[in-house]
Amino acid sequence: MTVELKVKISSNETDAGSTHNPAQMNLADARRTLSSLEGFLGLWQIKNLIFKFVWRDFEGRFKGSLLGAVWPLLNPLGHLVLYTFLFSIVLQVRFGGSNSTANFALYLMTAYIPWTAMSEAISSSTTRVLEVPNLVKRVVFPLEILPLVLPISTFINAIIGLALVVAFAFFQMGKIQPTVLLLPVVLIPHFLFTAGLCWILASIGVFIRDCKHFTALALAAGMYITPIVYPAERLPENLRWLLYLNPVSGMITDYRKLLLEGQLPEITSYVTYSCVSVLVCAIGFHFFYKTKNSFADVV
Amino acid sequence: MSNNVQNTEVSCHVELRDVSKRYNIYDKPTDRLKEILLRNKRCFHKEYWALRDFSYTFERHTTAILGANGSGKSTLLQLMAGVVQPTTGQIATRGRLTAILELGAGFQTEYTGRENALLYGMILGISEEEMKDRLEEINEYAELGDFFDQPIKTYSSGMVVRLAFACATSVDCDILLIDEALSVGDEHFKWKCLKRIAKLQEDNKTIIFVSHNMQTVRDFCHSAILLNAGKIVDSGAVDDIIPQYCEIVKSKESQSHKRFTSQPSIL
Repeated sequence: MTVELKVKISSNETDAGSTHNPAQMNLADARRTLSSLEGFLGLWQIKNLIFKFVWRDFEGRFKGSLLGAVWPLLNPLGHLVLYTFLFSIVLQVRFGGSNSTANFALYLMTAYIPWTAMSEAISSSTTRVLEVPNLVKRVVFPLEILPLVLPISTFINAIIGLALVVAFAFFQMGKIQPTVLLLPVVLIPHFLFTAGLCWILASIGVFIRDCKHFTALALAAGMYITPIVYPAERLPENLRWLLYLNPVSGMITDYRKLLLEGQLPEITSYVTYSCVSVLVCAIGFHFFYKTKNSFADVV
Repeated sequence: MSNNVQNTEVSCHVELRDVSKRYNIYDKPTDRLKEILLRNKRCFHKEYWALRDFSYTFERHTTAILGANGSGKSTLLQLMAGVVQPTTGQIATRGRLTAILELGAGFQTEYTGRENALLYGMILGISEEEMKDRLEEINEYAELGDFFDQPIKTYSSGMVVRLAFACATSVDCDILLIDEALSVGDEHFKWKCLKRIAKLQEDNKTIIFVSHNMQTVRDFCHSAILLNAGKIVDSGAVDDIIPQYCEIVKSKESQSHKRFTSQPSIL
Protein backbone atom coordinates (compact mmCIF):
# COMPACT_ATOMS: atom_id res chain seq x y z
CA MET A 1 0.00 0.00 0.00
CA THR A 2 2.77 2.43 0.90
CA VAL A 3 4.63 1.72 -2.31
CA GLU A 4 1.49 2.16 -4.34
CA LEU A 5 0.88 5.57 -2.80
CA LYS A 6 4.40 6.72 -3.43
CA VAL A 7 4.14 5.77 -7.07
CA LYS A 8 0.97 7.78 -7.21
CA ILE A 9 2.73 10.89 -5.94
CA SER A 10 5.46 10.76 -8.52
CA SER A 11 2.99 10.16 -11.32
CA ASN A 12 1.12 13.25 -10.21
CA GLU A 13 4.15 15.37 -10.94
CA THR A 14 3.56 14.84 -14.63
CA ASP A 15 -0.03 15.99 -14.73
CA ALA A 16 0.63 18.92 -12.45
CA GLY A 17 -0.14 21.23 -15.37
CA SER A 18 -3.73 20.10 -15.50
CA THR A 19 -4.12 20.41 -11.74
CA HIS A 20 -3.28 24.06 -11.90
CA ASN A 21 -5.64 24.83 -14.72
CA PRO A 22 -7.30 28.05 -13.53
CA ALA A 23 -10.71 27.02 -14.85
CA GLN A 24 -10.72 24.06 -12.50
CA MET A 25 -9.63 25.87 -9.41
CA ASN A 26 -11.96 26.14 -6.51
CA LEU A 27 -12.35 29.07 -4.17
CA ALA A 28 -9.53 28.00 -1.91
CA ASP A 29 -7.13 28.02 -4.81
CA ALA A 30 -8.49 31.19 -6.28
CA ARG A 31 -7.80 33.03 -3.05
CA ARG A 32 -4.15 32.34 -3.30
CA THR A 33 -3.60 33.43 -6.86
CA LEU A 34 -5.91 36.37 -7.59
CA SER A 35 -4.43 39.83 -7.79
CA SER A 36 -6.19 42.53 -5.83
CA LEU A 37 -7.66 44.01 -9.02
CA GLU A 38 -9.27 40.69 -9.86
CA GLY A 39 -10.40 40.46 -6.25
CA PHE A 40 -12.01 43.88 -6.54
CA LEU A 41 -13.86 42.96 -9.72
CA GLY A 42 -14.86 39.70 -8.06
CA LEU A 43 -16.90 41.69 -5.56
CA TRP A 44 -19.56 42.00 -8.24
CA GLN A 45 -19.89 38.23 -8.49
CA ILE A 46 -20.66 37.91 -4.80
CA LYS A 47 -23.10 40.81 -4.72
CA ASN A 48 -25.82 38.52 -3.36
CA LEU A 49 -23.68 37.72 -0.38
CA ILE A 50 -22.97 41.43 0.14
CA PHE A 51 -26.70 42.28 0.02
CA LYS A 52 -27.38 39.51 2.49
CA PHE A 53 -24.94 41.05 4.94
CA VAL A 54 -26.22 44.59 4.36
CA TRP A 55 -29.75 43.41 5.07
CA ARG A 56 -28.53 41.60 8.14
CA ASP A 57 -26.78 44.75 9.31
CA PHE A 58 -30.05 46.67 9.02
CA GLU A 59 -31.98 44.04 10.89
CA GLY A 60 -29.34 43.78 13.55
CA ARG A 61 -29.63 47.47 14.32
CA PHE A 62 -33.36 47.39 14.90
CA LYS A 63 -33.87 43.93 16.34
CA GLY A 64 -34.25 43.73 20.06
CA SER A 65 -34.32 47.46 20.69
CA LEU A 66 -37.42 49.03 22.14
CA LEU A 67 -37.97 51.71 19.52
CA GLY A 68 -36.53 49.65 16.66
CA ALA A 69 -36.64 51.39 13.30
CA VAL A 70 -37.22 54.80 14.92
CA TRP A 71 -33.63 55.01 16.18
CA PRO A 72 -31.93 55.89 12.87
CA LEU A 73 -34.21 58.95 12.79
CA LEU A 74 -34.24 59.70 16.47
CA ASN A 75 -30.49 59.71 16.78
CA PRO A 76 -29.73 62.50 14.27
CA LEU A 77 -32.78 64.42 15.48
CA GLY A 78 -31.46 64.36 19.02
CA HIS A 79 -28.09 65.63 17.85
CA LEU A 80 -29.81 68.21 15.72
CA VAL A 81 -31.54 69.69 18.74
CA LEU A 82 -28.35 69.53 20.76
CA TYR A 83 -26.08 71.14 18.18
CA THR A 84 -28.67 73.72 17.17
CA PHE A 85 -29.04 74.80 20.76
CA LEU A 86 -25.31 74.99 21.32
CA PHE A 87 -24.07 76.49 18.08
CA SER A 88 -27.01 78.45 16.75
CA ILE A 89 -28.60 79.77 19.93
CA VAL A 90 -25.66 79.98 22.34
CA LEU A 91 -22.71 80.60 20.01
CA GLN A 92 -24.68 82.40 17.27
CA VAL A 93 -23.16 80.53 14.29
CA ARG A 94 -24.88 81.56 11.02
CA PHE A 95 -25.03 79.92 7.60
CA GLY A 96 -25.75 81.39 4.16
CA GLY A 97 -26.60 84.88 5.34
CA SER A 98 -29.82 83.90 7.11
CA ASN A 99 -30.37 84.39 10.78
CA SER A 100 -33.08 81.82 11.41
CA THR A 101 -32.49 78.81 13.58
CA ALA A 102 -34.35 76.62 11.07
CA ASN A 103 -31.81 77.60 8.44
CA PHE A 104 -28.98 76.61 10.74
CA ALA A 105 -30.64 73.27 11.34
CA LEU A 106 -30.86 72.62 7.60
CA TYR A 107 -27.21 73.49 6.99
CA LEU A 108 -26.19 71.41 9.93
CA MET A 109 -28.13 68.32 8.87
CA THR A 110 -26.94 68.32 5.24
CA ALA A 111 -23.42 68.06 6.63
CA TYR A 112 -24.04 66.04 9.75
CA ILE A 113 -25.92 63.17 8.10
CA PRO A 114 -23.19 62.28 5.54
CA TRP A 115 -20.56 62.76 8.22
CA THR A 116 -22.27 60.32 10.58
CA ALA A 117 -22.63 57.78 7.77
CA MET A 118 -18.88 57.98 7.29
CA SER A 119 -17.84 58.03 10.93
CA GLU A 120 -20.19 55.20 11.95
CA ALA A 121 -18.84 52.96 9.19
CA ILE A 122 -15.24 53.79 10.02
CA SER A 123 -15.55 53.33 13.76
CA SER A 124 -17.16 49.89 13.43
CA SER A 125 -14.70 48.80 10.75
CA THR A 126 -11.81 48.61 13.24
CA THR A 127 -13.30 45.61 15.04
CA ARG A 128 -15.31 44.11 12.16
CA VAL A 129 -12.96 41.23 11.37
CA LEU A 130 -12.26 40.42 15.01
CA GLU A 131 -15.98 40.00 15.63
CA VAL A 132 -16.23 37.04 13.28
CA PRO A 133 -13.40 34.63 14.10
CA ASN A 134 -15.46 31.77 12.67
CA LEU A 135 -15.48 33.29 9.22
CA VAL A 136 -11.75 33.87 9.39
CA LYS A 137 -10.64 30.51 10.72
CA ARG A 138 -13.22 27.93 9.72
CA VAL A 139 -14.27 28.70 6.17
CA VAL A 140 -12.87 30.33 3.08
CA PHE A 141 -14.88 33.51 3.23
CA PRO A 142 -14.43 36.62 1.09
CA LEU A 143 -13.53 38.74 4.12
CA GLU A 144 -13.19 41.89 2.00
CA ILE A 145 -16.97 42.25 1.93
CA LEU A 146 -17.18 42.77 5.70
CA PRO A 147 -15.66 46.28 5.77
CA LEU A 148 -17.59 47.13 2.58
CA VAL A 149 -20.97 46.24 4.08
CA LEU A 150 -20.60 48.93 6.76
CA PRO A 151 -20.52 52.01 4.50
CA ILE A 152 -23.18 50.51 2.21
CA SER A 153 -25.64 50.26 5.05
CA THR A 154 -24.77 53.61 6.68
CA PHE A 155 -24.93 55.40 3.33
CA ILE A 156 -28.38 53.97 2.62
CA ASN A 157 -29.37 55.44 5.97
CA ALA A 158 -27.81 58.75 4.95
CA ILE A 159 -29.74 58.86 1.68
CA ILE A 160 -33.01 58.44 3.59
CA GLY A 161 -31.93 61.15 6.04
CA LEU A 162 -30.94 63.55 3.24
CA ALA A 163 -34.28 62.97 1.51
CA LEU A 164 -35.98 64.13 4.72
CA VAL A 165 -33.71 67.18 4.81
CA VAL A 166 -34.72 68.05 1.25
CA ALA A 167 -38.38 67.68 2.19
CA PHE A 168 -37.80 69.93 5.19
CA ALA A 169 -36.00 72.44 2.97
CA PHE A 170 -39.02 72.46 0.68
CA PHE A 171 -41.28 73.51 3.55
CA GLN A 172 -38.76 76.06 4.73
CA MET A 173 -37.76 77.68 1.44
CA GLY A 174 -40.73 76.77 -0.68
CA LYS A 175 -38.74 75.10 -3.46
CA ILE A 176 -36.46 72.19 -4.18
CA GLN A 177 -33.17 72.95 -5.90
CA PRO A 178 -32.83 71.04 -9.20
CA THR A 179 -29.21 70.30 -8.27
CA VAL A 180 -30.56 67.81 -5.70
CA LEU A 181 -30.57 65.31 -8.56
CA LEU A 182 -26.78 65.58 -8.73
CA LEU A 183 -26.42 64.23 -5.19
CA PRO A 184 -24.79 60.94 -6.37
CA VAL A 185 -21.98 63.00 -7.90
CA VAL A 186 -20.77 63.81 -4.38
CA LEU A 187 -22.12 60.71 -2.68
CA ILE A 188 -20.06 58.31 -4.80
CA PRO A 189 -16.59 59.79 -4.07
CA HIS A 190 -17.58 60.13 -0.42
CA PHE A 191 -18.60 56.47 -0.36
CA LEU A 192 -15.38 55.32 -2.05
CA PHE A 193 -13.32 57.37 0.38
CA THR A 194 -15.15 55.82 3.33
CA ALA A 195 -14.90 52.28 1.96
CA GLY A 196 -11.15 52.69 1.42
CA LEU A 197 -10.62 53.85 4.98
CA CYS A 198 -12.82 51.01 6.27
CA TRP A 199 -10.67 48.45 4.49
CA ILE A 200 -7.44 49.90 5.78
CA LEU A 201 -8.66 50.25 9.37
CA ALA A 202 -10.33 46.82 9.38
CA SER A 203 -7.01 45.27 8.49
CA ILE A 204 -4.92 47.33 10.89
CA GLY A 205 -7.49 46.65 13.62
CA VAL A 206 -6.73 42.94 13.39
CA PHE A 207 -3.05 43.43 14.13
CA ILE A 208 -3.19 46.41 16.45
CA ARG A 209 -6.05 46.33 18.92
CA ASP A 210 -5.63 49.98 19.96
CA CYS A 211 -6.69 50.99 16.49
CA LYS A 212 -10.29 51.50 17.60
CA HIS A 213 -9.37 53.94 20.36
CA PHE A 214 -7.19 55.95 18.05
CA THR A 215 -9.89 55.98 15.38
CA ALA A 216 -12.53 57.17 17.82
CA LEU A 217 -10.31 60.08 18.79
CA ALA A 218 -9.44 60.92 15.18
CA LEU A 219 -13.13 60.89 14.22
CA ALA A 220 -14.03 63.22 17.07
CA ALA A 221 -11.30 65.60 15.94
CA GLY A 222 -12.35 65.19 12.30
CA MET A 223 -15.87 66.28 13.17
CA TYR A 224 -14.57 69.68 14.31
CA ILE A 225 -11.87 70.34 11.72
CA THR A 226 -14.48 69.68 9.04
CA PRO A 227 -16.92 72.59 8.60
CA ILE A 228 -19.98 70.76 9.89
CA VAL A 229 -21.20 72.86 12.78
CA TYR A 230 -19.77 76.08 11.35
CA PRO A 231 -19.42 77.47 7.81
CA ALA A 232 -15.98 77.11 6.19
CA GLU A 233 -15.60 80.91 6.10
CA ARG A 234 -15.62 81.08 9.89
CA LEU A 235 -12.31 79.30 10.10
CA PRO A 236 -9.45 81.79 10.74
CA GLU A 237 -7.33 82.57 7.69
CA ASN A 238 -4.20 80.98 9.15
CA LEU A 239 -6.02 77.67 9.68
CA ARG A 240 -7.58 77.42 6.19
CA TRP A 241 -4.96 74.88 5.15
CA LEU A 242 -6.83 72.38 7.32
CA LEU A 243 -9.70 72.52 4.84
CA TYR A 244 -7.47 71.86 1.88
CA LEU A 245 -5.79 68.93 3.59
CA ASN A 246 -9.12 67.37 4.47
CA PRO A 247 -10.96 65.97 1.45
CA VAL A 248 -14.15 65.57 3.49
CA SER A 249 -14.51 69.33 3.95
CA GLY A 250 -14.77 69.75 0.17
CA MET A 251 -17.44 67.07 0.06
CA ILE A 252 -19.40 68.61 2.91
CA THR A 253 -19.34 72.01 1.22
CA ASP A 254 -20.61 70.40 -1.98
CA TYR A 255 -23.45 68.60 -0.21
CA ARG A 256 -24.66 71.99 0.95
CA LYS A 257 -24.21 73.56 -2.46
CA LEU A 258 -26.21 70.84 -4.19
CA LEU A 259 -29.00 70.35 -1.67
CA LEU A 260 -29.54 73.84 -0.28
CA GLU A 261 -27.90 76.49 -2.43
CA GLY A 262 -28.59 75.12 -5.90
CA GLN A 263 -24.99 75.61 -6.99
CA LEU A 264 -22.64 73.26 -8.77
CA PRO A 265 -19.47 71.98 -7.05
CA GLU A 266 -16.33 73.95 -7.70
CA ILE A 267 -14.49 71.96 -10.32
CA THR A 268 -10.88 71.96 -8.98
CA SER A 269 -11.92 70.99 -5.50
CA TYR A 270 -14.30 68.34 -6.88
CA VAL A 271 -11.69 66.75 -9.14
CA THR A 272 -9.14 66.78 -6.33
CA TYR A 273 -11.25 65.03 -3.75
CA SER A 274 -12.64 62.57 -6.31
CA CYS A 275 -9.11 61.54 -7.25
CA VAL A 276 -8.13 61.27 -3.60
CA SER A 277 -11.20 59.11 -2.95
CA VAL A 278 -10.51 56.72 -5.80
CA LEU A 279 -6.91 56.47 -4.66
CA VAL A 280 -7.85 55.84 -1.02
CA CYS A 281 -10.35 53.20 -2.11
CA ALA A 282 -7.81 51.43 -4.32
CA ILE A 283 -5.05 51.53 -1.71
CA GLY A 284 -7.48 50.43 0.99
CA PHE A 285 -8.70 47.41 -0.93
CA HIS A 286 -5.21 46.44 -2.01
CA PHE A 287 -3.94 46.71 1.56
CA PHE A 288 -6.79 44.62 2.96
CA TYR A 289 -6.49 42.03 0.22
CA LYS A 290 -2.76 41.62 0.71
CA THR A 291 -2.97 41.32 4.49
CA LYS A 292 -6.11 39.20 4.83
CA ASN A 293 -4.26 35.91 4.37
CA SER A 294 -2.45 36.50 7.64
CA PHE A 295 -5.67 37.19 9.57
CA ALA A 296 -6.18 33.52 10.39
CA ASP A 297 -2.77 33.45 12.10
CA VAL A 298 -3.70 36.32 14.43
CA VAL A 299 -7.44 36.20 15.17
CA MET B 1 -16.04 28.24 -9.37
CA SER B 2 -18.63 25.51 -9.51
CA ASN B 3 -18.24 24.31 -13.08
CA ASN B 4 -15.89 21.61 -11.91
CA VAL B 5 -18.47 20.16 -9.55
CA GLN B 6 -20.69 18.50 -12.09
CA ASN B 7 -17.72 16.77 -13.59
CA THR B 8 -17.33 14.03 -11.02
CA GLU B 9 -15.57 11.78 -13.52
CA VAL B 10 -12.47 13.90 -13.11
CA SER B 11 -10.62 12.69 -10.06
CA CYS B 12 -11.43 14.88 -7.10
CA HIS B 13 -8.47 15.06 -4.87
CA VAL B 14 -6.25 17.21 -2.74
CA GLU B 15 -2.63 17.26 -3.66
CA LEU B 16 -0.01 18.72 -1.36
CA ARG B 17 3.58 19.18 -2.33
CA ASP B 18 6.36 20.11 0.10
CA VAL B 19 3.87 21.97 2.22
CA SER B 20 5.18 23.62 5.37
CA LYS B 21 3.42 25.90 7.76
CA ARG B 22 5.39 28.13 10.02
CA TYR B 23 3.79 30.14 12.77
CA ASN B 24 5.72 33.17 13.81
CA ILE B 25 5.50 33.75 17.49
CA TYR B 26 5.55 37.42 18.31
CA ASP B 27 6.07 38.98 21.69
CA LYS B 28 3.97 41.98 20.74
CA PRO B 29 1.19 42.16 18.14
CA THR B 30 2.74 45.28 16.59
CA ASP B 31 5.87 43.33 15.70
CA ARG B 32 3.86 41.39 13.15
CA LEU B 33 2.69 44.55 11.43
CA LYS B 34 6.20 45.99 11.47
CA GLU B 35 7.41 42.92 9.67
CA ILE B 36 4.66 43.07 7.05
CA LEU B 37 5.37 46.73 6.39
CA LEU B 38 9.13 46.25 6.27
CA ARG B 39 8.65 43.24 4.00
CA ASN B 40 10.70 40.88 6.16
CA LYS B 41 13.82 43.02 6.14
CA ARG B 42 14.11 42.65 9.87
CA CYS B 43 13.16 39.75 12.05
CA PHE B 44 10.93 40.23 15.09
CA HIS B 45 9.75 36.71 15.81
CA LYS B 46 10.49 33.20 16.95
CA GLU B 47 9.57 30.40 14.57
CA TYR B 48 7.34 27.43 15.18
CA TRP B 49 6.85 24.85 12.45
CA ALA B 50 3.42 23.26 12.76
CA LEU B 51 3.94 21.23 9.59
CA ARG B 52 7.11 20.49 7.72
CA ASP B 53 7.70 19.32 4.14
CA PHE B 54 4.44 17.50 3.81
CA SER B 55 3.78 15.83 0.47
CA TYR B 56 0.79 13.63 -0.08
CA THR B 57 -2.11 13.18 -2.45
CA PHE B 58 -5.47 12.41 -0.93
CA GLU B 59 -7.31 10.13 -3.31
CA ARG B 60 -10.95 9.32 -3.80
CA HIS B 61 -11.37 7.18 -0.76
CA THR B 62 -11.35 7.72 2.96
CA THR B 63 -8.07 8.64 4.57
CA ALA B 64 -7.55 8.97 8.27
CA ILE B 65 -5.04 11.39 9.72
CA LEU B 66 -3.61 10.11 12.96
CA GLY B 67 -1.31 11.77 15.41
CA ALA B 68 -1.05 12.88 18.98
CA ASN B 69 -2.17 16.35 20.04
CA GLY B 70 0.01 19.02 18.53
CA SER B 71 1.28 16.82 15.73
CA GLY B 72 -0.12 19.13 13.04
CA LYS B 73 -3.40 17.42 12.12
CA SER B 74 -5.59 20.47 12.49
CA THR B 75 -3.07 22.68 10.74
CA LEU B 76 -3.07 20.23 7.87
CA LEU B 77 -6.85 20.35 7.59
CA GLN B 78 -6.89 24.13 7.82
CA LEU B 79 -4.35 24.31 5.02
CA MET B 80 -6.39 22.00 2.81
CA ALA B 81 -9.55 23.94 3.55
CA GLY B 82 -7.71 27.08 2.47
CA VAL B 83 -8.31 29.05 5.66
CA VAL B 84 -4.61 29.35 6.41
CA GLN B 85 -1.93 29.77 3.78
CA PRO B 86 1.10 27.48 3.53
CA THR B 87 4.46 29.08 4.22
CA THR B 88 6.04 27.02 1.47
CA GLY B 89 4.82 24.45 -1.00
CA GLN B 90 1.68 24.07 -3.04
CA ILE B 91 -1.79 22.76 -2.44
CA ALA B 92 -4.07 21.91 -5.31
CA THR B 93 -7.66 20.93 -4.68
CA ARG B 94 -10.01 19.78 -7.36
CA GLY B 95 -13.71 19.61 -6.67
CA ARG B 96 -15.96 21.27 -4.12
CA LEU B 97 -14.43 21.03 -0.70
CA THR B 98 -16.38 21.29 2.53
CA ALA B 99 -14.89 21.12 5.97
CA ILE B 100 -16.02 20.72 9.55
CA LEU B 101 -13.10 22.21 11.44
CA GLU B 102 -13.07 22.14 15.23
CA LEU B 103 -16.85 22.09 15.62
CA GLY B 104 -19.01 24.51 13.72
CA ALA B 105 -18.35 25.47 10.15
CA GLY B 106 -17.90 29.21 10.14
CA PHE B 107 -21.21 29.82 11.83
CA GLN B 108 -22.27 33.23 13.06
CA THR B 109 -23.55 32.90 16.61
CA GLU B 110 -26.06 35.75 16.21
CA TYR B 111 -27.67 34.23 13.13
CA THR B 112 -30.29 31.52 13.20
CA GLY B 113 -29.56 27.99 12.07
CA ARG B 114 -31.52 28.61 8.89
CA GLU B 115 -29.58 31.76 8.04
CA ASN B 116 -26.30 30.06 8.78
CA ALA B 117 -27.15 27.14 6.54
CA LEU B 118 -28.09 29.55 3.77
CA LEU B 119 -24.91 31.54 4.27
CA TYR B 120 -22.84 28.38 4.28
CA GLY B 121 -24.15 27.48 0.84
CA MET B 122 -23.65 30.98 -0.52
CA ILE B 123 -20.03 31.01 0.63
CA LEU B 124 -19.53 27.81 -1.35
CA GLY B 125 -21.05 29.48 -4.39
CA ILE B 126 -24.44 27.75 -4.30
CA SER B 127 -27.32 29.99 -5.36
CA GLU B 128 -29.80 31.10 -2.74
CA GLU B 129 -32.71 29.33 -4.45
CA GLU B 130 -30.86 26.05 -4.68
CA MET B 131 -29.88 26.29 -1.06
CA LYS B 132 -33.41 27.13 0.08
CA ASP B 133 -34.60 23.87 -1.43
CA ARG B 134 -32.17 22.00 0.75
CA LEU B 135 -32.92 23.76 4.01
CA GLU B 136 -35.71 21.44 5.07
CA GLU B 137 -33.54 18.43 4.33
CA ILE B 138 -30.75 19.95 6.42
CA ASN B 139 -33.07 20.63 9.34
CA GLU B 140 -34.53 17.17 9.14
CA TYR B 141 -31.11 15.61 9.21
CA ALA B 142 -29.78 17.80 12.02
CA GLU B 143 -32.95 17.18 14.05
CA LEU B 144 -33.05 20.75 15.32
CA GLY B 145 -36.81 21.17 15.12
CA ASP B 146 -37.88 24.66 16.17
CA PHE B 147 -34.33 25.55 17.12
CA PHE B 148 -33.58 25.87 13.41
CA ASP B 149 -35.01 29.38 13.60
CA GLN B 150 -33.21 30.32 16.81
CA PRO B 151 -29.78 31.97 16.96
CA ILE B 152 -26.85 29.55 17.05
CA LYS B 153 -25.74 30.97 20.39
CA THR B 154 -28.67 29.20 22.03
CA TYR B 155 -27.55 25.80 20.70
CA SER B 156 -25.83 23.07 22.62
CA SER B 157 -22.46 21.97 21.21
CA GLY B 158 -24.07 18.78 19.94
CA MET B 159 -26.63 20.78 18.00
CA VAL B 160 -23.96 22.96 16.40
CA VAL B 161 -22.07 19.91 15.21
CA ARG B 162 -25.24 18.31 13.90
CA LEU B 163 -26.00 21.42 11.88
CA ALA B 164 -22.40 21.68 10.68
CA PHE B 165 -22.37 18.08 9.58
CA ALA B 166 -25.75 18.40 7.88
CA CYS B 167 -24.64 21.51 5.98
CA ALA B 168 -21.29 20.14 4.94
CA THR B 169 -22.73 16.91 3.60
CA SER B 170 -25.88 18.30 1.96
CA VAL B 171 -24.15 20.46 -0.62
CA ASP B 172 -22.83 17.82 -3.03
CA CYS B 173 -19.27 18.10 -1.87
CA ASP B 174 -16.50 16.17 -3.58
CA ILE B 175 -14.03 16.44 -0.77
CA LEU B 176 -15.06 16.36 2.87
CA LEU B 177 -12.75 17.24 5.76
CA ILE B 178 -13.87 16.19 9.22
CA ASP B 179 -11.92 17.22 12.29
CA GLU B 180 -13.02 15.17 15.29
CA ALA B 181 -16.54 16.46 14.82
CA LEU B 182 -18.18 13.21 15.76
CA SER B 183 -16.73 13.09 19.25
CA VAL B 184 -19.31 15.59 20.55
CA GLY B 185 -22.45 13.92 19.24
CA ASP B 186 -24.35 11.19 21.04
CA GLU B 187 -24.39 7.59 19.85
CA HIS B 188 -27.51 8.08 17.78
CA PHE B 189 -25.97 11.00 15.89
CA LYS B 190 -22.63 9.26 15.46
CA TRP B 191 -24.39 6.33 13.93
CA LYS B 192 -26.28 8.65 11.59
CA CYS B 193 -23.08 10.43 10.56
CA LEU B 194 -21.27 7.24 9.86
CA LYS B 195 -24.19 6.05 7.78
CA ARG B 196 -23.99 9.20 5.71
CA ILE B 197 -20.22 8.89 5.43
CA ALA B 198 -20.74 5.36 4.16
CA LYS B 199 -23.12 6.76 1.56
CA LEU B 200 -20.51 9.31 0.47
CA GLN B 201 -17.95 6.52 0.25
CA GLU B 202 -20.26 4.65 -2.10
CA ASP B 203 -20.37 7.76 -4.28
CA ASN B 204 -16.58 7.69 -4.42
CA LYS B 205 -15.98 10.96 -2.60
CA THR B 206 -12.69 11.98 -1.10
CA ILE B 207 -13.05 11.97 2.66
CA ILE B 208 -10.32 13.06 5.03
CA PHE B 209 -10.94 12.15 8.59
CA VAL B 210 -9.30 13.10 11.87
CA SER B 211 -10.32 10.95 14.79
CA HIS B 212 -8.90 9.57 17.98
CA ASN B 213 -11.33 6.70 17.94
CA MET B 214 -9.36 3.79 16.52
CA GLN B 215 -12.45 1.64 16.07
CA THR B 216 -14.07 4.20 13.77
CA VAL B 217 -10.84 4.58 11.84
CA ARG B 218 -10.53 0.83 11.44
CA ASP B 219 -14.11 0.47 10.29
CA PHE B 220 -14.29 3.35 7.87
CA CYS B 221 -10.93 4.36 6.50
CA HIS B 222 -9.14 2.82 3.56
CA SER B 223 -5.78 4.28 4.36
CA ALA B 224 -4.15 6.35 7.04
CA ILE B 225 -1.27 8.71 7.51
CA LEU B 226 0.58 9.24 10.75
CA LEU B 227 1.88 12.63 11.79
CA ASN B 228 4.28 13.39 14.58
CA ALA B 229 5.74 16.79 15.45
CA GLY B 230 4.62 18.27 12.14
CA LYS B 231 6.18 15.57 10.00
CA ILE B 232 4.70 12.62 8.20
CA VAL B 233 5.91 9.42 9.84
CA ASP B 234 4.28 6.84 7.64
CA SER B 235 1.35 6.29 5.36
CA GLY B 236 -0.39 3.18 4.20
CA ALA B 237 -3.01 0.66 5.23
CA VAL B 238 -4.92 1.42 8.39
CA ASP B 239 -3.82 -1.78 10.11
CA ASP B 240 -0.14 -0.90 9.61
CA ILE B 241 -0.48 2.64 10.87
CA ILE B 242 -2.61 2.18 13.97
CA PRO B 243 0.04 0.20 15.92
CA GLN B 244 2.60 2.92 15.20
CA TYR B 245 0.18 5.55 16.42
CA CYS B 246 -0.48 3.60 19.59
CA GLU B 247 3.25 3.43 20.19
CA ILE B 248 3.66 7.18 19.93
CA VAL B 249 0.78 7.75 22.32
CA LYS B 250 2.20 5.18 24.73
CA SER B 251 5.67 6.72 24.70
CA LYS B 252 4.12 10.11 25.45
CA GLU B 253 2.21 8.54 28.28
CA SER B 254 5.28 7.01 29.85
CA GLN B 255 7.13 10.32 29.51
CA SER B 256 4.48 12.23 31.36
CA HIS B 257 4.23 9.41 33.86
CA LYS B 258 7.93 9.73 34.55
CA ARG B 259 7.59 13.46 34.95
CA PHE B 260 4.75 13.03 37.39
CA THR B 261 6.51 10.47 39.52
CA SER B 262 9.84 12.28 39.48
CA GLN B 263 8.43 15.65 40.49
CA PRO B 264 7.77 14.91 44.17
CA SER B 265 11.37 13.77 44.66
CA ILE B 266 12.62 17.14 43.41
CA LEU B 267 10.42 18.90 45.87
